[in-house]
Amino acid sequence: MHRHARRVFGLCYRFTGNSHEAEDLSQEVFLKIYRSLASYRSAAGGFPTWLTSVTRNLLVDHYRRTKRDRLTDSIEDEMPRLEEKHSSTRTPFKQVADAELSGQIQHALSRLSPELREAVILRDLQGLEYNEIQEVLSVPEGTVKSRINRGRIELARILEQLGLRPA
Amino acid sequence: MNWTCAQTEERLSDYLDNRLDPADVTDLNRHVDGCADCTRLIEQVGTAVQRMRSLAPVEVPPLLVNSILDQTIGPRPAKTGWRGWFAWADFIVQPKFAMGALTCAVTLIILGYAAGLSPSKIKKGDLAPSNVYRAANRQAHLTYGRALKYVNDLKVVYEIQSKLRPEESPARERERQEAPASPTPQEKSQQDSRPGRSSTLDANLYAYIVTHASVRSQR
Repeated sequence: MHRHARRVFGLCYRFTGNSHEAEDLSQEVFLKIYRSLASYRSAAGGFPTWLTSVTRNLLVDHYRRTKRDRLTDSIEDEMPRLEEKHSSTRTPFKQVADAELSGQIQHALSRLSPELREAVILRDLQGLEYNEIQEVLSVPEGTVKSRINRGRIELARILEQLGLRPA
Repeated sequence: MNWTCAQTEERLSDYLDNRLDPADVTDLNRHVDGCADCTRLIEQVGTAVQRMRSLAPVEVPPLLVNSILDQTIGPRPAKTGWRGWFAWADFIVQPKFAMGALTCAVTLIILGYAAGLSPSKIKKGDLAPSNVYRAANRQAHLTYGRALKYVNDLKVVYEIQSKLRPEESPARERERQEAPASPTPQEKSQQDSRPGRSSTLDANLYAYIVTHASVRSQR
């Protein structure tokens, strides 16, 4: 349960960039899954892929729903978010550096279009394979590849604009 | 085949994810070797991907799982009996908190041992609040008494020292300082006579301490 919650919350948080919104969305995802467990077929890509797919669909709905609100208060999107906590095994110095990097990546992600953002999050933050992403997004493989590629290039450019240069 | 910059950009993710054919990799490498723009692009995007992958997973808020369970399978049965009394303390059963509590306990035990407490010496009666208070009170008074005695003894020693010092004549002091490392026969004889002098000193000291002690006891 914790593992699934982590996957869903992580995806929601990275997509929305807001901890409270991500928490509400995660609850919504699990509620939806609980109600539609009967429709789940174990053959279709495994439970994690299905879970990711449900989460992604909900995120897209949420994105469309809140589009108008976001246009009115876009200042909030400009703020890097540093509120996530990290595993306690890391040194404080590493934790601070990680939190800063995490905030910058979150900020860069928020400037990508939702299509590119979800592709990059699924590939590089959630570690999904190309075929799994193809299944989650229900788009052809060529589209997945091109979205990941364009998303990464754009994100790298934004990160460089933010002052993060290749080491 | 002639590889172009547009191709590098288009196939960049395939290259970074090791999904490029070996023949294409060779072509790409040959092109990149002579192209500063493509080298920079690969470095830039490669670093961005590496940075994203190095991020720790986002930590789930502690109460999220509980609220999800409450909303899906419904609220779990409330704890009854003594478990119900301690339901508020559920957060204690977390690795972070347990680690902190353990560290505190170990520190207290070490301090206890250093202060002379030993679990084997403690009897059941010692744990009664009145006994604990009495023992602490006694220990405090004893410590105060010892400290007072130490200070007074030190005073006596300094008084004795200041009384004895005038007996040391300045001439003798100078003589001792100027004396060479190997004593001359004359000095040897002086040294021989010293036990006599020190014994008179001891006698003086003894007499002083006895009078001082009797004065103190009369007070």
